[in-house]
Parts: sequence; structure tokens; C-alpha cells
Amino acid sequence: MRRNRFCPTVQAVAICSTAILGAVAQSAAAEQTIGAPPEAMNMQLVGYNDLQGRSAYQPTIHHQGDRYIAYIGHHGGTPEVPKPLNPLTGEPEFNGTSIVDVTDPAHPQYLVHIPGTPGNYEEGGAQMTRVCDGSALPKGDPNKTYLLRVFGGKSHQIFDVTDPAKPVLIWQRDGELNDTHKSFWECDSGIAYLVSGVPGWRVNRMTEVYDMSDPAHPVKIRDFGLPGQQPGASGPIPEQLHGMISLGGAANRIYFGYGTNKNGIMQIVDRDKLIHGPKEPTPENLLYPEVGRLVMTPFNGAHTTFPMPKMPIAEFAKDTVGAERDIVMIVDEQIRNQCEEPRQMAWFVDVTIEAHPMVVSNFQVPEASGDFCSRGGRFGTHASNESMAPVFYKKIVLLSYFNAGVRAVDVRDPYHPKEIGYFIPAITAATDKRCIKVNGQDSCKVAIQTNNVETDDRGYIYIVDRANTGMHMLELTGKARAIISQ
Amino acid sequence: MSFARTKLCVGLAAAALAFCGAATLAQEANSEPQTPSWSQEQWPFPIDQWGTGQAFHCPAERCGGELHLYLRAKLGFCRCATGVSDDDEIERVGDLELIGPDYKPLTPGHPVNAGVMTGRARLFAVVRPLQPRLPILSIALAHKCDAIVATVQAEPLQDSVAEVEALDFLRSATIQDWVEAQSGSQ
Repeated sequence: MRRNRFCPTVQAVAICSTAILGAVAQSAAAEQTIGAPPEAMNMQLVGYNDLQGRSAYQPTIHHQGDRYIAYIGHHGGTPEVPKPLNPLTGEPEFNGTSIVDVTDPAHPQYLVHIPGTPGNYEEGGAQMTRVCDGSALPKGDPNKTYLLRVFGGKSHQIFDVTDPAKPVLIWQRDGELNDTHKSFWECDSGIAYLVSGVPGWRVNRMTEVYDMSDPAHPVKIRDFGLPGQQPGASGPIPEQLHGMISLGGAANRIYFGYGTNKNGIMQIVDRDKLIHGPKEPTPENLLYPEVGRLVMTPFNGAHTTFPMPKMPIAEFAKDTVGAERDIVMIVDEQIRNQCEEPRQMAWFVDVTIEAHPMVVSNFQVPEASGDFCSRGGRFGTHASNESMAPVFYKKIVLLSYFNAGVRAVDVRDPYHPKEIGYFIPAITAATDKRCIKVNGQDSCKVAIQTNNVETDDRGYIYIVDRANTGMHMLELTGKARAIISQ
Repeated sequence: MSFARTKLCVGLAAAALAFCGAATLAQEANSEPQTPSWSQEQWPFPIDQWGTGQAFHCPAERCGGELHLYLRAKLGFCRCATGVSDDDEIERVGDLELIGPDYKPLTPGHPVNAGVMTGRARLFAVVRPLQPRLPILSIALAHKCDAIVATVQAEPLQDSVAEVEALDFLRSATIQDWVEAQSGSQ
């Protein structure tokens, strides 16, 4: 009998079974265990806070007077623990916002927890935070500091956090929204772009533009979205908004990201036309501020749109035209656990000619470098740091990569981004499981789920975990540190 | 054994399992006394961001007209708290774009249920280039945070009959078990 080239019958079954079992054993070996050390390259742990075991989303690090304060938004709780205990009050509280003094990142001090709305996972909590000083805002009290946050999916709130240990609610948007998400607040102008689900719009996340120059008395300017999303439209509905980043009045550009893990669109918007243009949400008026648009492959979404304008490209230095390029990094969000959907990553888009943006490179972590598809939880990108402080800006970006931790990427040549460091925290007893369905049954694993990352102007890196592992404060080491020292 | 060969064997095993699973789904659908009319057919559409789905066919003599039902689970795509509670949500989660690039509703939507799932159904006219408009029934259902979407094409269209037959099929144990197996993971 001629031997089958690949898997002859019984022998093949045995061999294949062995191979499969071997693969299973290998993947089991890749799973994290409590007590194991973190995995790292050119990054090291400086400090840690457990964030009361709450699932974390967006951290904002604010240099507040002579202190550094971290404001961390949280998702809702879990069915097992919908209201984690706040040890400071002794009371169970729905997840909301953690405020932590990180002036000394080696010894962070948890100051207070502001509860959010009821609901588990993305249904509840208060995921988003932005912070502005009154001294920067045109009509703010120069002695005060303000926190803008979402209140679950229902509303937006502003707190006076001048004393970060004693936040005071000063404004809440009237009426109930269908959803909220990652908003943006320009501290120098006070203009805020709120991700909202205004009833009547055909998507749950679109933009409300507000003048929040006086945080105690915000004034709505207009609603905004892609044509087809507005009330009364018919036909296909463009993918809903995720968030946006504004470069402010001088640059006059805002970069909107639509979609999270699918149907991505990056929209370049003329800020002045958006704020001062016709406000009625007709298709013509909604298109009026648009300068350019990149339609991505439907396999990927636009979660974070991080602009890096006027980047000198060393390779193009002798070119008479185009030696400097405007770059936007688009980061997709992986949604499904254990690689049950197309891979999400970071894309670098050349937007120098704004009407014709083009992807010129990407960054992704090789799966085989950590058997990440079988570790448990999500593997892929989620978000990047959004701080534009000079220490990192246009040199190194930090990407939260779920079970692959945080990845430091050298972007000085955005046509060829390369990894120069990473840190995957160890799991703890608080780390929550993540499940997939196998033959109709839950199959659960415990893995780190680095959800978001932010940096401060001192060069510290803050990563927070979606699976309740808390916040790790990190610093670069070795040749990665040398880059930010330049 | 080389790693590539190992991967091939694992891939073949996975493909065989997937094939058996799909075949079993159709076979079970055929074996149920309540829903003997439906048989599985090849997914006829190009791949998109949701991958491929399940396609079923019911002949005219069993369903009162030729019915084609295209079924997909869109995991994590539904509003966890409210599900498919209005007509816009049918369009947002639905699969009408499989049939054609543009569409208009022909009737108001209405609530429906299918076992563990609740949602809405609505009749649309799908506009296709150089072809006549095609009436399509879109059924969008929610299970936890997942959307289960059925797109029903009937020839000739008798929308009330098509809806009854499609919902009966979606209520069958085979489909309900498939939904439970597909959806609800964290």
C-alpha cells in the first residue's frame, strides 16, 4: 500500500492526535499562572494599584498642580460581582471612575471611587475620562480642575476635581442617551466632542459638539455623523462612531474613527466648518466639514485615530517635495476572544494629501511569539496612548494589546514601525476569566487583558486591565529608553 | 513531523469537524418532523466582515413558494440592554446588503420571537443594479448581546407565508441549539 503523503489512516489518526495533543499541551503551557513573573523587554514595572478589582477602560493622567493624578474609567461589573466593594467606604459600588494619586508611581495612592451606572460589562460603569484645568479653559475658574466623564451609556457628567479626593458633580447632560463612548475635550478652547446616542439618530454612537469653555454651563452646538446616520434617513447605515481626536484650533483638524473591529472609516474633518457650519443634520450639511475619508477593509475598525502631523521621514530627506508627512495611526479593537475574528492591528496612514489618505504600513505582534490565540481572552490591538507630550510624541507609541500586554513601537519612521519593548503583566487572583464556546459549552481561560494605555510628561506608562487586574505603572529601559532621551 | 505538516493535519481535522458539523446541522434540520422542509445549501455570497453564514432552502411544494433563508450570528453586535427594539436596529444589524447595495422598507417592522430570541421583522425592497427590485424579508433577533440575522428571499413573494415558515424554522430545536452554541460567550 502506498503510504499517504500526509496522514495515512490509523497511523495518521495517531500521529495527528499526538500532534493535536502536543499543540494543546503547548498552548496550555502558554497560559498564564498566578505567581509567574511578568514577561518584558525593555520595559519594567515601577508601581501597581489593583483599582479595587474593577474592569478598566480609559486612563487619563493629569499633571495637576504639583501632583500627578490618574483618572480611570471603568466598565460595569460582572454577573458574579456586579458591585465590587470599595474598601475606602466599606460599601459595594457600581463601577465608575477611580481617582489615583500617581505623583510617586512606585507608591500610588487610591483617593476615591465615583460610582457609575448599574449594568455589567459595557452596559454599566463610566468608561471615559477627560480632564482640563480651569486655567486653560476660556471661561473656567482658574483655580479649579474639571473631569468630564460618561455616566454609563445614559449621559455625560462634569465634576469639579480640584480636590481629587473630593469630586463634586457640577453638570449632567439632560435627557437619556442610547449610548456613550470615548469623547474628546479641547482644554484650550473648551470645545468638546461627545460620543452620544441621541434618540432619533440611526446609530447609538454619533457626535454631539458642545462648548464646554464654562464647565458649569455647557452649551450644545450641533449633532454630527456620517450621512445616512441622521434621523429620517433610509438605506444602509454607515458604521457607528467610536471616538475622535482633535488637533485644536490652530491645526483645524479632527480625526474621527468609525467602527471598532469592522467597517472602519477614518474621517478627516475641518474643525472650523464643523463648529461654525450649517447645523441641521442634512446629508449636505454633514458632508460639509469633511476634508477626506479613508474607507478601510471591512475586516477592521477604526477605534483610535492618533494624529502625528509633520513627521520628517529620514528616507525622504533629500526629496524636494514630501520630505515631511502627516501621519494618522489607526488602531483597531479586537473584540472576540481567542482569535475568533479577523486580526485587529495598528495602521499607519499618510494623510499629507488629505483628500487621498493611504495606509503605508502596519504594526502587529506575531501570534507565534506567545501562542497568543490559545492563551485566553482577546489577542490584538485595542488602543494607543493619546498624550502628545514631547517625551513620547512622534517617537514611540504605546499600544494596548490585550493578552499580549502593552507594546512599545518606534514610529520615527512611520513607513517602517518596529517594536522596541513590551510588558505583559502577571495575572492575579482578581483576574477574571474569558470564555469562548466549544461545542456549545463555555471554555474559559484566565489571561491578562491590557485594555488601555496612557503616558505622562515624565515618561511613565500606565496600563489598565479589562479583566480586573488593575493598573501597572511602567518605564522604558535599555535602548527603548534611549529613544525618549534624545 | 514538520510543523507545516502538523498544521495541515490539524487543519484537515478541523475542516472535517466543521464539515461534519455543517452536514449534521442540515441532516438534523431534515430529520425533525416539525421542519422537514428545509435543507442546507451552499452560502452563495462573497466573504465579508462577518465571514460566511448558513444558507437554507425550502421548496415551493413544502413552503408555498421557493424560500431561501440566509442565517448569520453577529456576535457582540447587538445592544445588550434593549436588543432589536426598533426598525433602525433591523437595518443596522441586518444583512440586506448581501442582496443589493441599497434598499427601502415596504412595510413597518413588527415584533417577532423565535424561542430564546426576540426581535423584529420587516419587508424591504432591495435595489440591484440593472435588475428589478427584489422584496426581501429581514428578521433581526437578539440573544443576550448577539444578533441573529435571517434574510429571507421568497419566489414568488408571499411575505406572510414566508415569515411564518421562516420563523417556524428558526424556532426548530436545531436552530435554537445552534444559536445557543454560537452566542453568549463573553
